[in-house]
Amino acid sequence: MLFELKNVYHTYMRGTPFATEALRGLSLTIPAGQTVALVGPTKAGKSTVVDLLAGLIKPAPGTLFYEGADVAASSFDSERIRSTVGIVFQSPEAQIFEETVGKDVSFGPRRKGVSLAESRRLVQEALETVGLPYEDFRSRYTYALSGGEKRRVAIAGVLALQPKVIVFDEPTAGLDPRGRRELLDLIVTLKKRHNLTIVYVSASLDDVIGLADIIHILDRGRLVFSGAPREILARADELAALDIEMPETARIALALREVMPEIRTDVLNLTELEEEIVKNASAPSAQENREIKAP
Amino acid sequence: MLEVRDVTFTYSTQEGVPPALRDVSLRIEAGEAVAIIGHNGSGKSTLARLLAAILRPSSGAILVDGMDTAAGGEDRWTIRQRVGIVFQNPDDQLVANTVIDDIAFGPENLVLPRFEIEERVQEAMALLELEPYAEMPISDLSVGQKQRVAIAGVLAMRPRYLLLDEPTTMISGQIARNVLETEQRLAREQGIAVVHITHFMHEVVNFKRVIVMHEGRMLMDGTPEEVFARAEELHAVGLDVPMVTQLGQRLRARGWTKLPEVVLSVEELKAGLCYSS
Repeated sequence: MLFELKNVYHTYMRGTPFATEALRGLSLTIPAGQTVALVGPTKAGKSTVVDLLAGLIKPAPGTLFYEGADVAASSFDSERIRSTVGIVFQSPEAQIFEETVGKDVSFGPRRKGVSLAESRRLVQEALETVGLPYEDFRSRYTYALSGGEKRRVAIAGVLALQPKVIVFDEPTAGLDPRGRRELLDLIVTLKKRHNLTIVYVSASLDDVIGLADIIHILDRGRLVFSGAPREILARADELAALDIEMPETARIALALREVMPEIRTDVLNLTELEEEIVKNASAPSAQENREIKAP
Repeated sequence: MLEVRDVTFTYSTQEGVPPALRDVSLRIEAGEAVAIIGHNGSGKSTLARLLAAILRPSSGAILVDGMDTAAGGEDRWTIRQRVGIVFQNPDDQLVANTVIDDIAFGPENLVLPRFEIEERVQEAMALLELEPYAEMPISDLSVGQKQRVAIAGVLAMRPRYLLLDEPTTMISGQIARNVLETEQRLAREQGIAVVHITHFMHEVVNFKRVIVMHEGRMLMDGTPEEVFARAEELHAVGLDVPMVTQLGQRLRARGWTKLPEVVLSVEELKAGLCYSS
């Protein structure tokens, strides 16, 4: 197991009148090589988990295991986490600070002390991976990039550090549908090409249904339930009660329960929903002789 | 009335840079609720900035209640008071430390008497259900709450026309639906003309009028039914009709002919599929 959280608590501003409990006995696992989604409404504790995985905070109390080792143990070298976990924060454009694309992406490798030639190779590879041709982009000013390009540069900056895990914290917020699609496709490509573990944090299931191997549903600092995308969608009524945004197909299916009590909500696309409705509705031929119910 | 007459707008004077808006003409009446949809780069935000007199047309004219936005003098101040704009990111327009101070900022700068400022602030806070947060620091609010404060701040200026540029990109779920409901209510109950700019097709369903922008031109202008009936044209410019509409079309093709040609809501879908025995 790459990461394991065991009964983890975390309180921000502990000991002050502003103390807020962000995690309250959270237990979950993140297996290596998988895409794991953390989904929950506001204040579920998602961003606190990101801080934990980044090594920015420690569980108190509770235990975080990294490859079986307790990260709070005095023998644990926290560099191990920092050098293997890359974080793409919410509004990734905020983590770009250099003047040019090349300088920004090479910032990480240079701090790690790799040679100039090696750094150049890493930057080139990272930029090509995110779809920004090296020769074209390396001297471009970062302030003049479009929103989508900035996001890609931020991701390239993380990739150039050669992480084993990349944590994405609501990466599609603020993108239009086309930009969103492109970013999700990029994550799939990254995972395949670099054999990464992906942790994807989101308030909505929309992005992760087609992406994740496992989805953990969080609420108020605890794990509510986990499962594969289809298992999660089957519990649409519970998701609605938690105010978690569902894909439109599942939302339509759930709303149709009123007239089709047996309809399944674990539909992954429009065609599956269509078939599910056909199965549950009275045949249209029989409708000809019947009266429409008053609206 | 907002009137756009043959407006073309170009950001750059350089050769070869295409205009962001080309030959657009339209009218928006008081009390109308209009949704403008299009991809990034379609010209929708440029149109909003032109209507708010932040930008001036390269050619053509924009009239707010008959006043030209390109004219200077007193008219410009009147236009600024009548047209309010809410930007995509609320942090771009929140200026004060607390919720109540931020909402009061606009009316204070109109040099209104104290009792009127208080009345307007209270009214705006009530409309956006912000009373519990009145004394809270802006920095402690969630993005959705900030978005509501930004809208309240603009409403306290009592605009006749309210432009919202992608107000739901930073928020989602129930909060986004609340913002959309508030917009409809403002148009219905306060007679404010609301212009909602978005790239989400499902958000335009409740507007009586939908304008589709593509590459700086107005591609369509009609009711949601009229617009969604042209699904293929929408698809060609990278926009899709809402899922419930697509589903209605598929089910109609499979024999559920009692469904309307353009299904706009799950309720319509239910009614079309459900018959008494």
